[in-house]
Amino acid sequence: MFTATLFILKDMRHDWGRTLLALLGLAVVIFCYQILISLADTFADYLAAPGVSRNLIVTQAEFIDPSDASLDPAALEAARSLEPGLVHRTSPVMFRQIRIGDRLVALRSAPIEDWQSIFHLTLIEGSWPTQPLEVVVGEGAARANHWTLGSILLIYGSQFHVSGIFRAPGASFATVWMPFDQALQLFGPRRPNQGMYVQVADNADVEEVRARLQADPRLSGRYTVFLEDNYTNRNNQFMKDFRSLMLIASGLALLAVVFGTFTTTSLSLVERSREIAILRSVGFTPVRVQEFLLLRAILQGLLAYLLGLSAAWVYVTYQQAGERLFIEGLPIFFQISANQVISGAVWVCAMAALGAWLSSRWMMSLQVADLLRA
Amino acid sequence: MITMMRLGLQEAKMRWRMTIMMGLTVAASIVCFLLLNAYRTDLVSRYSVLAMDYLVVQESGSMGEWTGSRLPVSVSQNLTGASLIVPEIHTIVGTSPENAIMLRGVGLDNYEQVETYKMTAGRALHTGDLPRQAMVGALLAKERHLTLGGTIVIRGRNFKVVGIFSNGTYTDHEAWISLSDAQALLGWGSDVSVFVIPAGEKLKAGDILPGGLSVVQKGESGVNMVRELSPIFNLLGLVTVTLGVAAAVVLANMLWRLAWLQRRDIAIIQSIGFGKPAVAGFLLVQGTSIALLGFGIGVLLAVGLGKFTQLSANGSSIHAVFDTHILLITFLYACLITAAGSAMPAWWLARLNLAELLRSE
Repeated sequence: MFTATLFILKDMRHDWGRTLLALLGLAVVIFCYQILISLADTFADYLAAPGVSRNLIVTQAEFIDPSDASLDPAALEAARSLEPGLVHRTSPVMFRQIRIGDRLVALRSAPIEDWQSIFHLTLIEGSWPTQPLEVVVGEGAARANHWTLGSILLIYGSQFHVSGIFRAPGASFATVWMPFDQALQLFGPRRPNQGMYVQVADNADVEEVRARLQADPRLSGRYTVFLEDNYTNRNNQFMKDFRSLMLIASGLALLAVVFGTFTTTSLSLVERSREIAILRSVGFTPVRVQEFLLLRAILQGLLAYLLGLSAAWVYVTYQQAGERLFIEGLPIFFQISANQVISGAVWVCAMAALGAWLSSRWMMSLQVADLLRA
Repeated sequence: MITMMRLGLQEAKMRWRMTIMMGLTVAASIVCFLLLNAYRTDLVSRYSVLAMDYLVVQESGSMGEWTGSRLPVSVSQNLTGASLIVPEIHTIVGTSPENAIMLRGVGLDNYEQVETYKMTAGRALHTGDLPRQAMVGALLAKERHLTLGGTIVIRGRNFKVVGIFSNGTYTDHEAWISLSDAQALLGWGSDVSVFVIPAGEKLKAGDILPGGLSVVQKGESGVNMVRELSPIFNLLGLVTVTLGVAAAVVLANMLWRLAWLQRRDIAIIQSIGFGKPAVAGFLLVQGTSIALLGFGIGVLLAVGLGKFTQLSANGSSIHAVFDTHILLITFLYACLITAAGSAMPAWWLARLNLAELLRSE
C-alpha cells in the first residue's frame, strides 16, 4: 500500500500539469460542497430542539406572530391560580418584532426578576438594566449587529443603551430584552402582554399542567398552551426549506465529484492504455490495476479536499468578518466543524472512488492485446 | 471549418461516456444556478415592490403590512393633511405555519383606491356585502384548492369565497375580508394595523409621528425582507458561479487532454491547410455539445426540483419561477462555461510548434 501510494504521488508530481487541472476542478467543487453543507448544518443546529424545558407558553389562539396577540388578565390569573402546587412561577411577556437600524430584531419584555429563573438568560458582560432606557442584548444579536456595552439602539423612537450582553438557549440568543415597566412606558398600556410563560413546579407533570391550563374556561378556545420546546421551532419552516435546498445542492456538488473523477480517470485510461497493458503483462490482475486506479482517485480526492477545505475555511472566516447573513431576523453564524471535515473527507473519497470504479469497469473485460491496440 | 466541426462532433460521439459524464458535471452547476435564480426572481418580483403613490402609517419599526402593528382607529384623526385615509388590518392567522394565512381586513368603501389587482374569477368585495365573504389571492386559492363559491376557514370561521384576485406580488397569498369582519374575528375592537395615505402630501416617508408611529413607503415591509435575504442569496450566487468555474476547469482539462491525444492528427490537418481557427472550432464544437447536453439535463432537473420545492414562511412562500429571461441567462451561463472550457486548450494548441507536433508519436 505504502509503495503504491508513493508511486502514485510520484506519478502525480511527474504529470503535474494534468494533476493540477484535475485537482483544481475537484477542489472548486469541494469548496462549494463545504460552504453548502456548513450552511445546512448551521440551519440544522438552529432547528434542533433545545433541552427539555419545564416552561409552558400561552398565547392567543391562531396568531402565528405573537406580536399581534394580546393576553387578558383573566388568563394570567388562571395560571397563577395553579401556584404554588403545580406552577412555580408565571411571567407575562411582551413580544415585538421591530427594526433596529436596518435589522429586524425580536424584542422581548418581562419582569426583570424572571429573566434568569424562567427565561434562562445568563449575563456574560455588563449588568442587568438598573437605569431607565437600558436594555440587554443576546450575544448573537450583539455579534451580528456589532453592538457592545454602551451602544445606543433606537427603539420605537427612543434611544436605549446596551447595559449588558446575555447568553440564552435557542433563538433567544438573538433577541433584545427590556424591563417590563420600561416597555409599558414605551409602547403604552393598551396591549401590555402578548403571552405568558408558565414555569411548571419541579414535582408536577408538565403535560398534565398543559392539559389542565388548556381546559381552563378562562383560556379554552381563546388561547393555546404550548410546551416551550415545541413552540420555539414552530415558525421555522423557512429555515427548514432553505436547509433542504442546501442539502440538495451539496448532494449535486458531491455528484460532480463522481462525474469529474470519472472523466479524469477515463482520460488517464485512454492516455495510458499501453502502460496498463504492460502492467497486466507482467502479472498485475485487472482487479489489482483497478485497485491502483481507485487508490489514485482517492488520493487525488483527498488532496483536492484539502485544497477545497482550505479555500472554504478562508472564505467562511472572511465572510463572518464581513456582511452578516440573516433569516427572519436570526443571524446565521456558519462555521466549519470537525464533524463536517471528517464526514466531508469520507464522502469525497467515496465519491472519487465511485467515479474511478465506474470509469475503469470496461477495462476489466479487456485483454492485454486489446489494451495495446486501444 | 465545417469539416473540423464535424470531426469534433464525431470525437464527442466516439467518447460518449466521457461526454455524458462531462455533460452531467455541467448539468450540476446549471441546476444550482437556475434554481437559485428562479427563486431570486420570484422573491424580487413578488416582494420587492414599492408603491410610490402611497405611504403607510404604522407602529415604528414594525413590518406593518404583514404583521406586528396595531393602532387605535383614533390615530386617523392625527393624519391631518392626508386627502385619503384607508385603514387596513394585516396579520397572519392559523394554528400552525402549515395552515397559516396572511389576512388583510379592508375598508370596503375605499380599499380599491390604494391597491391594484385584477380579478381572475368572481368579483371583488364591495360596500354592502354581507359579512363573512372573502376574496382570496390566486396563489392562496391554488395552494388551498379554493374555488369560487367555496369556503375558506379563517380563525375557525367559514368565509365564502366570492372572488379570486391576482396582482403578481405577495398579496396573491392573502385572504381579504371586510375590516369589520377582521376586527370582530381578531377581537381587536376598532383597532387597525396601518393607515394607507397618498404620497406627495403633507406627510412624507420617514416622518415620525407621536405615539411611536412612523410613515413608510407602501411596500417597504417586502423590500426589507428582500434586503435581509440578499446576503444569503448573494452567497449562494457565488457558490453557483464557482460551480460553473469548476465545470469550466474540468471541461478544459478534458478537451486539452483529448486534443493532446490527437495532437499528431491535428498537426497533419493543420499542415494540409486548415488554419488555427478551424482547430479552435474543433474544440469549441466538442465543448458546445457537452454544454448543450448539460444545459438540457440541468434545465429538466431544475424544473423538476422547482416543482417539488418551495421556501415557505408563515402564509407566504417563494417559488422557483422559470421565465424566458432566467432561461436565457442560464443559457448564457452555459455558453460562458463552454467558452472558458474551450478557450484554454485552443490557446494552448495554437502555441505549439507544428513541426514538433508532427514529430510526436
